[in-house]
Amino acid sequence: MKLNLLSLGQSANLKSISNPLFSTKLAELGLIEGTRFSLILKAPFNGPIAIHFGNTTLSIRSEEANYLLVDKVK
Amino acid sequence: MRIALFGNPNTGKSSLFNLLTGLKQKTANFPGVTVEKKEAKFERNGEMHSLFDVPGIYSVYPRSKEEEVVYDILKNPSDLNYPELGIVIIDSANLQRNLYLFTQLSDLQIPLVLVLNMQDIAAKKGIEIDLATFQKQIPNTPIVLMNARVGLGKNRLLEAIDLQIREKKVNPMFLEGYQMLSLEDIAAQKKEAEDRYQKIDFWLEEVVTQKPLPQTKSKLDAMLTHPFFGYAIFSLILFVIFQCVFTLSAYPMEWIEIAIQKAANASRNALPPGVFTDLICSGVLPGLGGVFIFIPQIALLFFFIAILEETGYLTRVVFIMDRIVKPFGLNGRSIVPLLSSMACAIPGIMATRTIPSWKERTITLFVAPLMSCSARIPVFTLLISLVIPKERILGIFQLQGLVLFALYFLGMFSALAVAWVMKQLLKEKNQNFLLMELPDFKSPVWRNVGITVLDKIKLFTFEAGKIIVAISIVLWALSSHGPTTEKKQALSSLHKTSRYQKASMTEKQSMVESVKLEHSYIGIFGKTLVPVIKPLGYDWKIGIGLITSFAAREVFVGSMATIYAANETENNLSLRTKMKRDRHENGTLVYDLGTGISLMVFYVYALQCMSTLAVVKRETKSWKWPILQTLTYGGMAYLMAFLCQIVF
Repeated sequence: MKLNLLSLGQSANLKSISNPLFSTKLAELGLIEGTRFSLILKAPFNGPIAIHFGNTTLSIRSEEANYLLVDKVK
Repeated sequence: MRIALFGNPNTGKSSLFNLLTGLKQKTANFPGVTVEKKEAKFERNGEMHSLFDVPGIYSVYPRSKEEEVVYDILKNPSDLNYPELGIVIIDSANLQRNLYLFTQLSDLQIPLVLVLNMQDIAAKKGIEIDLATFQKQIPNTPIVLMNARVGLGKNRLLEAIDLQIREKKVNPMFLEGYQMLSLEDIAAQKKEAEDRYQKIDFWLEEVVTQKPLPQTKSKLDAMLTHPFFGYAIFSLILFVIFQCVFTLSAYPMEWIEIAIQKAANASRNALPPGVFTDLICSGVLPGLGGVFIFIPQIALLFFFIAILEETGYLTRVVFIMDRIVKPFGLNGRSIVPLLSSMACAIPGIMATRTIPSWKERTITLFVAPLMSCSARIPVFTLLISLVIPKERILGIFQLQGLVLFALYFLGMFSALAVAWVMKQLLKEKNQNFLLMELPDFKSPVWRNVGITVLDKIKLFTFEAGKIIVAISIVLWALSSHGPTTEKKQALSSLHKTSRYQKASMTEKQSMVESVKLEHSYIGIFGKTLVPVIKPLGYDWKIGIGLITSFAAREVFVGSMATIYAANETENNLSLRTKMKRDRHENGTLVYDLGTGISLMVFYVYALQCMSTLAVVKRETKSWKWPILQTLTYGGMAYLMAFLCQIVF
């Protein structure tokens, strides 16, 4: 499912990234296919979202989040 | 030796740099680009080295023009700035991600020192690092544990640096035969990321243990990004900051003004009468005064901004503002430059360097001058006191205060409008992503705040200062010289008037100054402007004021004081009285409501500040943008002023 459809507090594994440049930049930050993260913040008015993985909190614009497909984790 | 300081953002790199260099640091640019380079002379054992800071990066491959500078340097070992030794600072709580950059630099075979910072925070998160095993993988890199905020570990670091200066040891490569890839080879960069992290994870498996602590959801973050409270808190913080800045700066501003006047009088008495003395006392000193007087406001505003930045709050501001400003072609990161521009556009425009997207950065610096800066305040205050009555609306709101607020609001609203237009017109070539870290909140490191404020003051004083003083001198020359015959005639007629003969010594002097100004070259320019500014309701005296505003906007007030032969005493009381009474030849008041508002609005828009233009030219490396700004804003100023004249 698309990352945008996750609700606050949910965890997921990153499945795929459809934008090659974005994919590379995420990879350099340690976020690659299979990495687990959780959605911890959503900015109002369809603004950026913040995901937490390892000990890092990263904010991503909602348009950028569209590139990410994830597998929800219970 | 050239020693570079590397590290991810939010690792305490600035704290470390400030710790090692203190006030010895100088800010320059990396050659050929508008990227800040902080460097300082660094002495070790009788040898002089150069220590410089590099932008915080996650990888040698850049995500923005600013980061590209680092890539360019590292790609080319014969580059002037190629580091011979690197200090890599690492957040102990984020070892995995921080080591990415480290392993890249290590593979470039640069001798390194590794600083494990923020151990205290890591410990709180239940993270333990087995240093002995950790070191085994990088035997030739000294590891130094530090708490850079408080300076703990500084001596150990200096020892480690000495060691590497002597030995220059490098580690075996993590990725065999590694060479830097080209910028465009994204696929290979991704592969590199996968390979490196695989090695890093393997390395850290034995080294790091993290006790799984319950993840407490940050209530503070939830509130700061709340749809209502987030913005309410931000507005409140802004309100408090601006209140503090304007009230607290009033005292030092007064002292500075008095000091400059005393200096001018003292030098006038001390030096022999003549052109040179005049130049110093009426040209250079007032020019310098015009620069110094804004230092308190600028220092205070940047003090508060630095605190917000140090605590990590500003990243939350970017987080909640990004979506709101995007439709206007701006970036969440545009907020700080635009706010800074309300003190002075010069540091504000320079602050746009952190905006990765060329288009968003250009738009931000283009509209920055519309955020009414400190220099406009004396003009607004004077004009408001002339034409706006001291009434209250609805019993509580002071009309005069409301008008001031409305002028600021007009500027901000216009900034958004212009930004929107530019968004439609400009083309962006590269993709830029937000990808911003939200670091943990921390209390500010006061040393960092102090150094930042000093840096901004220096920036303003020298950048704006040299231009303001230069123009002040030119204006002085033009205002104290004029066609002699007309001047002599005007002066002799003045001497014959009863008004003059009845006046006191000082009043006589003021009247003479006024006539001299009227018949100087500036006075003539002012009169030539009349056909153009008449539709706006302005006369030649205002014309003079508009011209002198090119040095700095607040010079308008000083010029008016001279023209109206009013001494600048007690809030310009005598000036205001004279201006209020002034009439055109046809009998109508010069400063009626229409003219007053029209002039205020003119100042909201017109780009008279030469210093701003100079900085825009430097930051965009082209005359295109400053010229476009001048024409656009000049046109808008004229149009809006004209509309106001008609409406009011």
